[in-house]
Amino acid sequence: MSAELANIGWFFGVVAALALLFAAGLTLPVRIGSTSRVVTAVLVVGAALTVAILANVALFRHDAYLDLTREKAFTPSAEARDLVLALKEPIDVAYFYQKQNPGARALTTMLSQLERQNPNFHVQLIDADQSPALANSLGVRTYNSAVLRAGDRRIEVITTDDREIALGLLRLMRQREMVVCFAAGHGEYDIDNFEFHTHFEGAQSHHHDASGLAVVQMEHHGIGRLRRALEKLGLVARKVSFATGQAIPDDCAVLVEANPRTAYSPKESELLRRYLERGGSAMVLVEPDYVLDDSIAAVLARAGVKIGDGVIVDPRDHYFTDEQMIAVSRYGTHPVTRGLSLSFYPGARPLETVAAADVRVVPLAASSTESYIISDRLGKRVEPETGPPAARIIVLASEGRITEAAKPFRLIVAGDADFVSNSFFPYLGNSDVVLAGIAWLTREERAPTMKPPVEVLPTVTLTGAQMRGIFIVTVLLMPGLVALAGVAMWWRRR
Amino acid sequence: MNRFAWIAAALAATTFLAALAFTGGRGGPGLAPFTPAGLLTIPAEQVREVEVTSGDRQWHFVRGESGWRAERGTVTAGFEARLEGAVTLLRNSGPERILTDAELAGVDVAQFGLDPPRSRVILRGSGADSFAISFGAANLLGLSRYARLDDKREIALLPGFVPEAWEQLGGAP
Repeated sequence: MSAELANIGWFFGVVAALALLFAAGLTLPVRIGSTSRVVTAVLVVGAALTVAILANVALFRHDAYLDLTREKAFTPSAEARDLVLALKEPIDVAYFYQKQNPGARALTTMLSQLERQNPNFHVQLIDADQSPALANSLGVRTYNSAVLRAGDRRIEVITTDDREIALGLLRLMRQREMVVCFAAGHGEYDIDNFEFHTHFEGAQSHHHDASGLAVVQMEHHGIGRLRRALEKLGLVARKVSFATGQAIPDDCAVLVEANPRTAYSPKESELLRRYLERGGSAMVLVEPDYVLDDSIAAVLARAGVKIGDGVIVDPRDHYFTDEQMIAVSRYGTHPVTRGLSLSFYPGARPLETVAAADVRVVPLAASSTESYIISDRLGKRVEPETGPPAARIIVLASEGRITEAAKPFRLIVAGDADFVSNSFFPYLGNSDVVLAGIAWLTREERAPTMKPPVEVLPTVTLTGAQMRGIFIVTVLLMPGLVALAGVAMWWRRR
Repeated sequence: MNRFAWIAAALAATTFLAALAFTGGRGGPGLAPFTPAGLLTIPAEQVREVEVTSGDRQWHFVRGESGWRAERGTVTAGFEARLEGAVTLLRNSGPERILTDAELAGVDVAQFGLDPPRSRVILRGSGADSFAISFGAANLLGLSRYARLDDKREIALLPGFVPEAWEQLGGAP
């Protein structure tokens, strides 16, 4: 933002200087002293040319530009700028663009701007029709293809979006393959499923989990959007099942347990404990209706985490009108929560920290101090069932050692799972929470962060009062006035 | 302004509106009349003679009273229709892009495969009109081909099916 303000400042400074010179030119005498008319004219033309050149050079050297498009179509995203600014090694980008494509032309503008941010970022803009031989030599087979090279590493990104280029940079800079393993075998969210907004119809309303409901309207639900986001970041997503007794693979940089529906056996819990003992990282996301067996509860307790029962109701900070859809805008201080904005958790259970040796637990997200817990989320009871209103932990991070001899583990636990599902992942800051969490678990929290583009249609959200107002004006008031005018006219002519 | 001046002004305004109302027009979607956009300027029906060179194959066609006949080159049955089709495509299918002189400055034109060309077509009309075009390499996607007219410096990107129609004229794949 400060760079944009500086740009605008420079631009208006130059415009003001030119206006001042113009006004001075109108005011000052045309003849200079006793010089002849010809000499005066030459001097005036020379001065005008000098000023024009100076103004252009000033604007060029200070990178002043204004992007007046609503979507900022010609301005690189903040993430891409940050990423390019952080480059420590030379990166060459050869962009083979199609001149007839406006999006590709806009990207060339943005790449040129990014090139000026960091001398390590070299950009070559190539009209693909003009240079087919060069494209062939680099193996390019399509338009709008960017070949990113760093040393002997190379990747190709086909895009007209600067953020895709930045994501390509992120992949290029990663030195090793990072695998995110998704636990399977307990009815977890499927990473191959791209359905969204599954809901369960109950007696009173619809919800996004199956607690106490007789009829399940649709069984498809998944976290395909999360998987796609991870793959855009250059991570590898893979399903693993340890229900067969096989150990969690060592190449799993993170194990994600997203919404298990059936209980763990003690043997599986033991495998998870051993994985953490080996210095593994895990993200555990459980819904309010999931019953934890004692063995996994014990593993989590050893990591300083206790998963409570019931559903949090927050009369103060919630999304839309649903008090069980907790909205969080303030976070605990942790690498995961750096720069997070508003996120929301549709139906969350409370978490607690428990004392554990060699373990540090940090609450990441919590409800407001006015929140309370109810056991029956569909019940009509709205009063607190357990104790006075207080803030309840929804997400927490834990790190330390399971035993003295163990390697340090990292763990993130959330009392909600559907905030990462396809239905809610792209909205507000939910994707930021999950992706920042996985970056911390993969021990890449110091790497430049880059949120992959998630396509969400622009929406207009109206409150109930606004909707009623629109209904009254458009359905009742306007037709009513027309009818009234007709009646009045009839009465007058009668 | 007197009464007659007002009447004259009113008449002039009405005449102006009437003139506007009965002239001009507005093309709607799908109603725009077709106009050939190809590089060939000679109308297809006026083409009398065609010479085609594609690799080591050569054809020479002449349009007589009874239609096209091959003076040189091997052809298979139905070549007349293929020839008419190739001429029509050259006349109707416009270039996707034309690389101007300025765009070609400093560019190695050898990469466009036009020297020597992959195929070359010369057409002669009923008068002294003649038209010669060379087809070169394919573009990045392989769907278009570079082409150049004999009397022009610019290089056009033509849809690939235009040169392919000429190169398959004899019936060979």
